[in-house]
Amino acid sequence: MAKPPVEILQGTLDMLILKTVSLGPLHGYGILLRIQQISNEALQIPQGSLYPALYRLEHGGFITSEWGESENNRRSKFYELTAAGRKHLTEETAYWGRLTEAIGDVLKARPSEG
Amino acid sequence: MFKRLLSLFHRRRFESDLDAELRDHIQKYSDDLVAHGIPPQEAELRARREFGRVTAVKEDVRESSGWAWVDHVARNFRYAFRTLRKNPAFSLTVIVTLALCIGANTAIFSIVDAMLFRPLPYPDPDRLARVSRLDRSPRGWYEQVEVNGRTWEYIHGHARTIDVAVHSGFEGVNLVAPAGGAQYVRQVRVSTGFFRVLGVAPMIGREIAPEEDRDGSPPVAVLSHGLWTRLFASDAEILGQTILLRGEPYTVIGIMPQGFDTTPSAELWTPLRPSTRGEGGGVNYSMIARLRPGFSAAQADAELETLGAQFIAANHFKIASMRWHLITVQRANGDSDRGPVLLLWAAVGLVLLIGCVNIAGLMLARGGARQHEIATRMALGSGRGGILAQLLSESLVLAIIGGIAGLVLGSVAIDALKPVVMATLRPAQPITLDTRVVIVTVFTALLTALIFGFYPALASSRGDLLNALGSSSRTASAYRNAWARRGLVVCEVALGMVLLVSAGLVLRPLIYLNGLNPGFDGRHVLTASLSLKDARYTADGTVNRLFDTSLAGIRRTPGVEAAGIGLTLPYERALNDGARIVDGPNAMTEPQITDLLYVTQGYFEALRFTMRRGRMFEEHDTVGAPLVAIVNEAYVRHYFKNDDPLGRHLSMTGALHEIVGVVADVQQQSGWGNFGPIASTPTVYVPAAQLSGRDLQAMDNYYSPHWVVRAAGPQAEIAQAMRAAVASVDRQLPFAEFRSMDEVRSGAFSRQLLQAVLLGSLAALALVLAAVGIYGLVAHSVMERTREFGIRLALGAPRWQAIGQAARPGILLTLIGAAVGFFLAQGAGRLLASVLWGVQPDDRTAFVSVTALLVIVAALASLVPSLRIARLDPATTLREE
Repeated sequence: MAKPPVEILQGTLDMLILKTVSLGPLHGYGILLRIQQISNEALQIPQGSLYPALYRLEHGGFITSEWGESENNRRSKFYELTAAGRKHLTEETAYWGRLTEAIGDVLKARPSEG
Repeated sequence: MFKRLLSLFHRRRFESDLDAELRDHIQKYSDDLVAHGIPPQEAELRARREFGRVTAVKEDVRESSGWAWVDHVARNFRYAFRTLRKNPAFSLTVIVTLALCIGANTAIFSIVDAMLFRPLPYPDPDRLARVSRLDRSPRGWYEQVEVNGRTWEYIHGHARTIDVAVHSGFEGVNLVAPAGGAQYVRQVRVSTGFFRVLGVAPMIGREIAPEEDRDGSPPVAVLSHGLWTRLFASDAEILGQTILLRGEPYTVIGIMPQGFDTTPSAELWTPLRPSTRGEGGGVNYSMIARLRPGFSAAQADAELETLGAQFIAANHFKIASMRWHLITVQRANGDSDRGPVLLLWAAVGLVLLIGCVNIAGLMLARGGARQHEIATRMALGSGRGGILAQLLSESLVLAIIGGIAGLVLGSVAIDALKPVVMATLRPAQPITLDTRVVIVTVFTALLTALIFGFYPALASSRGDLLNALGSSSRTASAYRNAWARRGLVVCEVALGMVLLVSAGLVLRPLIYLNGLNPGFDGRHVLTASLSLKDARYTADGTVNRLFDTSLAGIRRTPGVEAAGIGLTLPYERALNDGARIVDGPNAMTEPQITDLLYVTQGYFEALRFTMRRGRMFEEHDTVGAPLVAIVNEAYVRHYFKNDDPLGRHLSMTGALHEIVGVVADVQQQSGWGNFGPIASTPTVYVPAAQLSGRDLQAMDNYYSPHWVVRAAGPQAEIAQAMRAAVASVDRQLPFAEFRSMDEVRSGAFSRQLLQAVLLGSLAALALVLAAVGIYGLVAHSVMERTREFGIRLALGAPRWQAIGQAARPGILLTLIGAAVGFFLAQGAGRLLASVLWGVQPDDRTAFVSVTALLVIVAALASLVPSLRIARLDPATTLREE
């Protein structure tokens, strides 16, 4: 049984896509499945919002695309991380780490004894 | 920007790819659902539903992949087209106005460009210049673009920054090709290095060598490609062969490449052999210069200034201030036409401005009518920027369509103007619709969109939401627009007034010149000239034998009433020379300038000059007989005052001539004094029969003598008889061109006529635009106030009163505009002073008649739309709304 779905935060979808394609070339539907699978179905991405994000990343030069063959001999568009995308992902990951740590610290704070 | 254009190109691919990708996604999802046991049909439906609206997704994708702007622009333009199609009357008015204004601008700019701006067709044209001389006179600096032999020698010998060459003006000469047949061709004499300075080498052969540019060396010639093709069948063997030019053998040494020409235009070039005496003693050379590598124009100017000072010091000249400097070749060539051409350019710019003001007015009126629509769109969430972009898109669409129509119209106008302009203004380069002109037109069209579109768009998008939505009638901003429109109409009338006054002022000299008494009867007179710059016509008696024999032959032709020969014709330039009255109360110590021409017997008779006193030239006035002369009345007025000229003597070229007659004045173009373009100038006539071969040759070197024949019958037959008569003496003397005296006369006015016609058309266009503007304003206000007028009529107001009230603003605004224009036009008149003759720049007639015309047109333009009120039915009007 899956955990209850979580709304993804604004701006984090790009990072998730980059991470997913960093593991190997994937088509759009594949990216969607992979994110759901890795997050144990916790992250539900509205299908319609995936493509604008993909095109935005491609326009920004973080990923490239190429038509290839997928299962059932269907032609699909595969996305792949570029060098710029890899760099961007590293930065974003580090930033995300600092952000969550900081937020975590704040949330864990107890009344000070002073 | 380039990337964007490229991506536009790939747009179709982009769309189909996106489509395929999304379809693939939905299919995969649906397949997965089927794999999970859901029936295929239901699976597909569910896949589609969960994916969301494909069009919305696509829209989002485009937005995020840099395609958004294309869609925005496309949407704006689509909407603009739709809006404009829905208002055909408005759109058509704007497009026609723009087409006329832009077309006129395109045509005039092509002339301006050819005359003043277009780079010369030589390599590195910006390093090419003319050397000119500035002299300070009490009225400011005076530019002398020609130089004399001493100036040439000094600069040629000393200048290090520039490579220089000189050339003569254009001469019509006779050429006899080996294949036979005498031809009249255009010759320009040039110094050695001329082609090197221009930067164009002969296609075959070589240019004139330094030793060939000295007196005594065998004459050589360089041919144009056109002449080579026409007369020598493109035969390269012609190099080294001789051609008979001006009666002497010349060796052909080079052929210039196709398309090469000089200013003045020529078909062959021969050595100038510059000298400081004779021709070179006066300012008869044009000096061209090319900056040597590594030197700038500023450095060359500095060197020329230093050289000028040294030149004055070395020659002990008492010249207060003289300066040599570089000016552009176009400037030097079109010096006298610069003013009129710039004037035309300014005028056509004004017309464009009036057109834009007019359209802005229409746009404002429409903005008022669209207030409701715009307010609604704003209420529905359109930002002001969006509305502004939308309204500007409409302007842009109009400007593009108007610009294309203007380009077509301009091209038609250029074709129509080309022959006249090339013949009268003689620009250095042909006027054409080339890339430069097209670029300027496109730029003009875009500029107009900004001028006429920006303020109305700004004003309309400022809409006050509540007000506009709340009430359907007048709003505060409509009120503001009305004031803006009135201001625009005032502008328009004022600018129109400037143009009309200018046209009136330019038209007046034409009327004045046209009204001058010609002093002769040119009907049924045919004339043709031929060049006697010919080595075979230097000996005493040769020229007169040609004259006498050919005239005798012509007089034998049936239908010929009289025939004669004169050096020059009425309405054209005459030779300027010095003559000294030696006896009587007005005896001179120095020769005084006068027009001088030789004539044969029959010249006065053929042109029907009027004898005032004394006698004409007669049979016995030949060599050996006492030398005689005839003067005109202007000469008597100018130099003899109240003294009786008959029997007095004139000293000319070292001989004494007795004055035996006085003829009535004819009109001539004077090259001296302050007579204006065409006037009766003091003139001395001498009989050709009494001149020595040397004297005749000296005069024939400046002008080609004209045969004048008064005859009934078809011109072609008379011309044939004239050709045959000359050929019976010499087969190698071709006539240049046959003209009737009426053509000669209209040719003398052609410049003024062209100017008046062009400026007049522009002024007429301005008047029509102003009328349309006023009409539009009044019609719009009548429409807006229909209800008000209905109420007035219902309350018993007389119709004529209501009509007057509606028409009044138009007339009032015209009067204000005319008053403003009156002052502007006075300034324009002062600027025009240089091209005016026989009229003062503040000429009353021009101002009064133009104001009257403007007021009448404005009154009509205001009355016609107001007359709608006469047909107004108060009852229906009040029931509406």
